[in-house]
Amino acid sequence: MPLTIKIIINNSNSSCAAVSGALVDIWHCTAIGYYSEYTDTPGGGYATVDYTSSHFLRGRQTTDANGLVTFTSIFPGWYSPRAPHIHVHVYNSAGTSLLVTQIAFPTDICDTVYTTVSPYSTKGKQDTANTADSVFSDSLATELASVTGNTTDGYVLTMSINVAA
Amino acid sequence: MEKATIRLLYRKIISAQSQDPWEKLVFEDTYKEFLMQAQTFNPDKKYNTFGELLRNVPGAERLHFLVSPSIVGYLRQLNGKMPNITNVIDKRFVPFKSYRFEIVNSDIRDISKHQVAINFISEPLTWYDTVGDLLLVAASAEKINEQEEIVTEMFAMQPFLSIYSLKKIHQDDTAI
Repeated sequence: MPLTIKIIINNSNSSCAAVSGALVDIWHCTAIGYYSEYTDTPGGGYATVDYTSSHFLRGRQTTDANGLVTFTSIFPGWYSPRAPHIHVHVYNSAGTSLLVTQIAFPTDICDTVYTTVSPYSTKGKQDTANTADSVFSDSLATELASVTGNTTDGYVLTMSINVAA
Repeated sequence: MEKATIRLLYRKIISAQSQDPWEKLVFEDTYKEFLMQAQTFNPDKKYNTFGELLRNVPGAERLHFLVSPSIVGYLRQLNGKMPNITNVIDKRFVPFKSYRFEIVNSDIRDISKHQVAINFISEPLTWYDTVGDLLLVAASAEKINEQEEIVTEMFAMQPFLSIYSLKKIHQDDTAI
């Protein structure tokens, strides 16, 4: 299920002005809950130059003048005991780490995708609610993304993240 | 003649002493990526070397994986042929798709201590014979028709080059 991920980085040290030139790394799991790092590669720990057997669903973009990065990805699945999420690591243009955080998804959209779209439907609804999640339960207001779209056209996720830059 | 299918392994070490332009790009980019990724395991800057991180920080061995994307663009520039390993007419000829990246050592204060290794695994080669100290192989991915002319390569074993695996082919089996 296609998912466009838009993240805007704002500077909490500067009245939330947009941060340009920041490096934004994201990574998330497959439709059925696996990360590329932990996949057994053929030959035992060897990756391939075409990326397909390792390092999928990971990427880096640089923020533009409006603090925006855009990724073309897929809707992540989920794995126990976590609610669905995307990992984010923001660095400044010099490579200094500014923030490690995660993005949460609205449950109603997850429910639709996880019950009606294959292969998400092989697992069904997430088993951990955002409010019960080890990372989101106390910070959902600042970590919940807004997601628009539908199962025919795909979805677009938009999230603003504040960093002390 | 007795044949076998082999895969070659070439371990290429890149360090501050590397002179070749491609090696220098890999050296600099992997160091920059190491500085970025190491922050996750060293937030208080308590440690300086990769060895210290491995010994003291659980999960720091993930750094090999986390730094490896910095070389993929450079690997693609090799157009599917291993660097440095040349045949007797001095051409690179060994096809590869698989690799494993390692950080050998590094230091967040000192780029001269940074050292990485790229382990290249070749595609299967059919090894027909050894002539003096030269191996005679077919490197083609196409199915070999033993009744037709087989295009071959000759090369010498070189430092840091090994035979990674071997699979015997019997007379009545077809080649790859």
